[in-house]
Parts: sequence; structure tokens; C-alpha cells
Amino acid sequence: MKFKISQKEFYEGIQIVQRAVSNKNTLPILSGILIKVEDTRLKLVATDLEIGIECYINAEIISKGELVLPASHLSNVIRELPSMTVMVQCDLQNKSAEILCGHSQFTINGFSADDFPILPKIEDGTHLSINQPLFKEIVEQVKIATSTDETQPFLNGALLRIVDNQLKMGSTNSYRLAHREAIIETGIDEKLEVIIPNKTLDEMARLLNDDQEATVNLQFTNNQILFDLENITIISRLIEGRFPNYEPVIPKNSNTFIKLNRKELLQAVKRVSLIAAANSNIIRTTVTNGQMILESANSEIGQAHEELDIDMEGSGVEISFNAGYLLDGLKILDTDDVQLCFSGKFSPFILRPTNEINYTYVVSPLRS
Amino acid sequence: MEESRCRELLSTQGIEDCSIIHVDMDAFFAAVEQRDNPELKGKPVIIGGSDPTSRGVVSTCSYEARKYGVHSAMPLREAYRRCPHGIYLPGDHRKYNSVSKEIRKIFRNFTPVVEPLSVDEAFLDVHGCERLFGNSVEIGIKIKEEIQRQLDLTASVGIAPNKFLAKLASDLNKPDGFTIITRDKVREILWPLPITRLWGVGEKTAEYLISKGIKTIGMLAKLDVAILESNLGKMGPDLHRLAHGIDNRKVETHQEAKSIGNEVTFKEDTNNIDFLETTFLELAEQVGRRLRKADVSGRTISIKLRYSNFKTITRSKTLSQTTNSSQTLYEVGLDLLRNTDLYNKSFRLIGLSVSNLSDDSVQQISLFQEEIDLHSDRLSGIMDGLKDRFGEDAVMRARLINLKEKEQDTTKDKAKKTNREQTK
Repeated sequence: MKFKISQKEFYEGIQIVQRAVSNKNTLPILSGILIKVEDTRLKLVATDLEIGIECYINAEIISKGELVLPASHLSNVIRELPSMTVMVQCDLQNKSAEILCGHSQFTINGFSADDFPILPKIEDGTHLSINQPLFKEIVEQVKIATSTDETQPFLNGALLRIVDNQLKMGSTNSYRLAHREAIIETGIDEKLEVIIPNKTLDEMARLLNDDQEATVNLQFTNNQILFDLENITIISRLIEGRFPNYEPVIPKNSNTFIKLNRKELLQAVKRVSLIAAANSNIIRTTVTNGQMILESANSEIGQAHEELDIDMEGSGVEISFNAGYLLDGLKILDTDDVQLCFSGKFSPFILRPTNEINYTYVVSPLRS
Repeated sequence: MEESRCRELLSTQGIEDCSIIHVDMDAFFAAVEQRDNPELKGKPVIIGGSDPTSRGVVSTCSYEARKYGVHSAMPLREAYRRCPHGIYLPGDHRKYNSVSKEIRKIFRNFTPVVEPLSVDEAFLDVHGCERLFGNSVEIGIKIKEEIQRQLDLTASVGIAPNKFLAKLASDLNKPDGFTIITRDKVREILWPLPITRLWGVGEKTAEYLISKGIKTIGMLAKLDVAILESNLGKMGPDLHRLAHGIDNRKVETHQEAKSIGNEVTFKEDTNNIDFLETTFLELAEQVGRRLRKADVSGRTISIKLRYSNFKTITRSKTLSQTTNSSQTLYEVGLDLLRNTDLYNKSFRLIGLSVSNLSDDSVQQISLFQEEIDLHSDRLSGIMDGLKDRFGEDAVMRARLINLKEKEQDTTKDKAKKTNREQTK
């Protein structure tokens, strides 16, 4: 097997699949990237058996074949090569690859491709096609609220549901939750409910495109999900278990509504949490007479106080919560203004972009 | 102390950065008994139980008893075998606690930075007290003299630049010792000692190190940190630092409990699983109540089980949320218990503890607070209220009634309950 490829494209391809390389050293071959030389192009594959990423790149093919090379060495070498044409020539007998570029020459030892797990082919299952920038926004807005607590594995991901012509995606760590809805042409009759793991969401956010014309195809089976982007395929295990029915938790009867500038609030919360950080990040918020006051105090360090002008409807409220939770929500939005809806001292409150009902972020307060 | 010895100590070179003092009372419980009953002086006194054929262990013994090979934590029966003519006493912990308070008062006359490790030992940091009371050696001598003069007891004192070395020093010339380890003495004093004297080297680690030919602290100190780290993990660099006499821990004046737990040693070994589980329920009730009294909740629940052959196992589980509910402790603990090998076994001790504690004064409210949890919280609250007003037996779970009745039948010699001190 032998091919020529530009250093830049080769390195980009490696970076795309490398995130799926196993960092647990269970099976040595999983620390590698499968390089498969096909008729006209090169296929790179990596998997940790939870997630698998395949990527096609253009190359000048001289002869076909396949070999697995250790991901970290391959990636380090290709990154450092000059931006010129790289020639790769594999000795399949000795399972090694010779890499030539300019005046550089490397030989890297690898593994036989026969031992590399084959990514499952999903042929049946439900199909769905979504605009890439839209899906990217949905994934980014929802993945912030997932849990990493391994004692509740079903929360280590986001719930994706298709109900009629609506896509609903939500996540929670039981103290805050994010929920997003979007109307799409699904063409799917049955109800669909899957939990997509954290890591897969991170990869999707990374690989999805901002190009308005691009679409991503989703395919579902009982325990797997496949995302098909142009030249890239991601296949992921789904999380088993029952996701909590979170929609009833979203407060319906708020009695304090405020509207304010998102950036100003973000910066004020950031500053107040400088003192709060040492104190489990607790900040106290008081909403009265067109003003929002943010405070934090730590007996050793000192205290912080911020005032913001707000548009306000309804009664005043005083509430304490984890500043980090609110920051996550504020950072992911891109509108100028946001709305906060409170329902009392010990009830969850809502953060939304103004005039927008498709996205809801809920934070549960602290009792002190 | 003799004047010549004092002069010799005071002339020690390099004590400028030795501001940590460790004071350890000599055979504390036994010494208090010998002080209060002159007939016991010069005799082997063993504290742990008045009946040496019973199932307890030695908590302290006098130096006279140590000559026979008796030491603390030894089963009483074994102590009796080695020293049949010894004087066996149950111990009067109320008295020891009040003496301990007197000792701490003496410490606090010299510095506010006192960290008691147990009833009979403490760390003191005397940095900055020199102008008032003289350097650390002078303070050490004064403390030793005050303990002797006011309480008629002897203590061993260790002085060093840090806690690890100070504790090691106080132990080097016991009883009635006074040892200074200055920085330039580290190699001379520390390095020839066996590795078991390093803080953090337990049975397992020692076994491993010895199997690699590392017998002394000096041998470990000369190893490359990277090698230690790759073999012992995070602990490697810590041990390496200690082996070079480096220890940056501060003297902590007040410490919060890291875990809360209780354990029960059965009066007789039991193979009755129902009795074991009922006892476990009682433990869960007690520990839950202690958590609630202290206004803390914990995330990690651990059980401890000792078989009749003294083999001890522990199992633990970390929850997604903190708890102080007796019911949750029982359910999770029982699950752990039932996953251990209970079949055809006989048990000596069972324990339950909760760690990963956090303050309950601020509580993150869950979005999915379940009705049933609220009920059980409310129930715990009501039961606690009744117990506060009418005593611990005012209200209890039906399953525990038989256990209580059994206990009352045998009040004379009831199952020994060790309320483990809040482990620091």
C-alpha cells in the first residue's frame, strides 16, 4: 500500500478521527488509527468501542491496502512535518509504515488491520435529516447541562426525542436542565427516544459545520446512533436506561419576570463569583424595583456586590443559587437580551433568550 | 529534668526552624491509674477490661507490662497469656478525659496553635512565641515540667521543623523522652529507621517495598521519585518527601470530621444473618442521627465486616446526592452487605460509616425531589424530635424492639459498643 497526500489534509483527517481513539489501554490496537487505502481516496477510522469516527480524505493512490498505526505517534509526526506532499509506504508484512516528506524519513510500527474492530454498518433504522448549523446549535445548547456523575449513567448524556414534526432535546444533572425544541421535516411516524452520550455530543459540536447549506443525516437503531456528515461518519453507542421525565419540572407559573442585557449579566455574575468560588459558588440575588442585586460573601476573603438595571414585571424575589450554573446558560446564548422567570425563593427559575420559547434553561436554587 | 540535660538540650545547634512540638503522654491511661493508686506503682497494669478472659483488647498498658510483650491493641486473652499476674482494669475514660483537658490547658498557656491527635497526644506550633516563652526547646522543657508538676505524669516530647519529624522524635526515647530532630540530623536519625516508620506506609506498602529490597527510610530516600511514582502512584512522591524529612502539613487547630460512623463488636460471634441485619439497622439509625445532629450529609456509605477469624472487609458506595437519612443508609448499606460473602460465616463486628461529608447549612435543591424522600426526611425529623425530648429509646423501628429487649436482659455484660471517635 502506498499513497501521496498533502501534509495539511492528512493532519486534519487524523485530528478528526483521533478523538475517538481509546485513552484507556484495554486493547492496544484501539490506540491506533486504521488507514485504509481505497480506489480513489483514503479512509481513516478510530474507535474506543463507545464511539467510532470515520473520515474520507483525498489522496493520490498508488497501491491499495490497510494498516493500523499508533495514533499519538502518527499524529505527532505528521503535525511536525513541513507543509509539503507526504508519501506513505507500508510494509504490510512487517506491519510498519515509512513516511517520507522533504528530507524527513520516519518508520512507524503498527498493527495488522485484520485485528481492528469493524464499525457496525447501520442499514435499517430510522432516518432523519437536519440542517447542520441548526443541529450544532441544539447540541451546544443542550450539552451544557449534562451530568458527569457516574452513579447516574442515564444522565451522562442528552435525551433526543422525535415527536411528530418536532425534535426535542434535553439534559439535566438534577440541579439544572436545558431543553431545546425545533420544528423539522422529520417524516417519522413512530415516537423516538434515545440518550446520546456526553462524549458524542462533544464530538458533534466539534465536527458539525456552520455552512447553512450543509445537512447531517441521523440514523437510529435500538442501541446505536449514526451521524453522517459529508466525508465524516460518527457512530456512537446510546446510553441505556430511563431518562427522567423532566418537562413537568420546568416551572409554568412564574410570578417574577425580568429582562436584561445578557453580556452585562454575564460579566456581573462572573465578577461576583470571584468571591463565591471559594464558597461552593453561592451567589444571592435580590430582584426589587427595577434592580437586580447580585451578592456573594466569604468569611475569609470578603464580599462582592453588583447592581444591574432591569425591566421587571411581577413581585420582587430573593434567591440563592450556584453561579456556575447560570454562567453556563448565559455563555451559550447569543442574543443581546435574556429573560429570567422566578417562581419563589426555593423554586427553580428559568433563563431564556428574550422573545424565544424554543430554548429553556432551568436552575434549581440553594436552600440556606 | 536534670539541669545538665537541660543545658545540653538548650545548646542544640540549628533549632531556629524547629517550631513544631509533639507531646505524647507515656502509657497515659495506665500512668493515671498508677498515679491515683500508689499500690499499682511499679506493677504491670493493663487497661482494657477487668476480666482478661473476656473478648476485649488492650487499650494501654504500663511499661512494666510491656516487658512481658504486652502492647496496645493486643487481645486481652493474649495479654493474659503473656502476663497472667498483671493487674487488669476496665479503665475510667471520664477521668482520662478530664486529665486530658488539663494537659491541653497547659499547652494553650504556651501557644494557641494546638492540634490534639487523641486524648494523650498533640502537636503544637510555637512559631512566634519565642519572645514570650523562649525558643521551642525551652517551651518543650517547660511543658514537660508543668505536666510533671501539676499532674504528676510524664510525657515524651519531640521537637522538629515539621509534624512528621516531631512525632517521630517524641517516640524515639520513650518514656520520659525529649528528642530534637534538626534538619541536619535527618539523615543520621531518619535514614537507618525501617520504612514502616514512614507516615502512610501500612502493612501492604511495607510488604511491597521490602519485597523490592527497600528496608530502610534511607534506601527509599535515595530512589528516583519517578520510579516511586510509577510503582506506588500518588503516594510515591509523598513518601519520598517524608523520607527526606519534608512535610508541609500545618498544625490544624480545629478539624472537621471527615467521616461519621459506628461499629458494634458482638458479645459472641454470630452467624445469624437476621440478627446481623437487625444490628445493621440499629447502626443506620444511630449514624443517621449523628449526621443530622452534626448538620452534615455524606455521599459515601461504607460498611465494615469482621469475620471471627479477624479478617476484615470494607465495602463502600458513593451516591449521586448527599444523604443523612437513616433509611437510605440502611438500604444502601444492606445492599453492600448482601453483596459480600455471608454464607456459612461467623461474624465478630459490623460497622457503618459515612464520609465525603458536606455542610447541610446550604443545600442544593434537586429538580427531582421525590415525594418519598420528603416523607422519609419528615419522618426522621419527627423521630429525632421525640428522641431529643424523651430519650433515645422513646421511639424506634419495630424491628429493633427485640434487639433492645435482648440487650436489657443482659445489661450486665451487654454487647460492647464502640462509638468510634469521629475519625480525623
